[in-house]
Amino acid sequence: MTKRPNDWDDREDQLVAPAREALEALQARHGGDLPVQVLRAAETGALPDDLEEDARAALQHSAWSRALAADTAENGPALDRHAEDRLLARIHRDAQRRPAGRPSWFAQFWRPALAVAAAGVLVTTVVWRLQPEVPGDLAPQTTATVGAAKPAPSFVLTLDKPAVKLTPMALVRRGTGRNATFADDVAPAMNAYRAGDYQTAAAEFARVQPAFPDSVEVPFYLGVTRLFLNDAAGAVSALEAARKLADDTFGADIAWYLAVAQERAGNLAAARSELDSLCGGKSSYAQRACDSAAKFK
Amino acid sequence: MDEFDAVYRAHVQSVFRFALRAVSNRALAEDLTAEAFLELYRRRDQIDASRLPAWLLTVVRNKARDHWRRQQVEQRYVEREGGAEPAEAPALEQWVLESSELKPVHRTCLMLRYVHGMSRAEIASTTGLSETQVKGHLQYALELLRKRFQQDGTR
Repeated sequence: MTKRPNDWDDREDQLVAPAREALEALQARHGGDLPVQVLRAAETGALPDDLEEDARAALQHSAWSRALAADTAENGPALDRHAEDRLLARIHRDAQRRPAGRPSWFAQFWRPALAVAAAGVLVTTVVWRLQPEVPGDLAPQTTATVGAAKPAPSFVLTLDKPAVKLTPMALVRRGTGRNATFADDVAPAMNAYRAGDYQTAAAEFARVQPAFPDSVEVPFYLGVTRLFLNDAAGAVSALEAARKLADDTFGADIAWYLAVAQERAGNLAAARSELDSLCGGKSSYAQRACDSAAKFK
Repeated sequence: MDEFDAVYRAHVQSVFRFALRAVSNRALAEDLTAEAFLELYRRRDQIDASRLPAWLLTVVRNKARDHWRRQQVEQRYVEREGGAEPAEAPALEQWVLESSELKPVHRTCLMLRYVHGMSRAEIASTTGLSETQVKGHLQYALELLRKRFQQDGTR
């Protein structure tokens, strides 16, 4: 077999032997076909236009492609009850976290009330200043109440969660244990990240970081994780470390999340600079960066 | 969240299946499903129940499109004239595509492993089956293939 998966076993070798030549002919015939993932996605309308066009053509003209796309659909896999419960728990957990740039239910409900109260206190303060006979111990209380009414910051750049991806180098990087791979070592961190357990993810990424100083994935996802923990300064630090590794796979992602982190850290000029750079490029962030940059004063 | 939970239970399977089909990666499909329902939770006051599950599927579709854009799928495949395959499919291809002995799931596993060179884990992630299921389907399909070649030496 010219194209042999890495988990091939001896018994399989024996069973395939009589058909080897015919299978190799099929491999040659279909080696250049569109990947099954693209064929399947075409039927959901989730592909960018150029890929969609290629996929449609393949599905129209190739019985093999049609069989691949159709057959996998018929399998109809589903979430088992455990996975369904796990996802629901994750949604509940994430729902408790205040979405970036959007007021929490507490803020939505109480901010107007606090604003009214603050206005009342302000009037009281002015009246008190005009009428010095009002008891002096109101002054500190007034200041504290006005401070509490200060609105929570809202941000131009929303914080979306990037999906986990790896660089080609990550696939061949060795892990720390015997026969372990890099993917094995970072799995606890990545799994926690994917599950939305950012405290665990941050701890795990920080733990494995010294073992993989050349990995861009670790500082990048550590940076994003810190953003979800509202640690903007820590996020900037991790993302800048990721940038120093100069990896093209994550270049635009790093710039975007640095912009998000810099805005949250209060460094608006730095955030704007990242957006301008992205806006002038051709990455998938370009349009969003251009739109967002215009909102920065 | 009781009302939201009921909506989740009513639609989660169809949303997950759609997500899996859109990205062919079980873990990512779970992510997209969770993100879509989280979006629904945050906008629950604005979304009419009659728009479900279509609204959820649209959220998943948009997120999946972002995923594909990020992937920047390499154009490694050979672009054929009009997408057409060369004429005269080999006998083995005809058997794989037309044999009534092969159920769709066996056919899929057989094609992905022995022609497209995918590992069991990759097939499982792509199809949403477990690796154990994939192994079982492959054993069955391979046994049929072996018998076929013993019978008439299909080439």
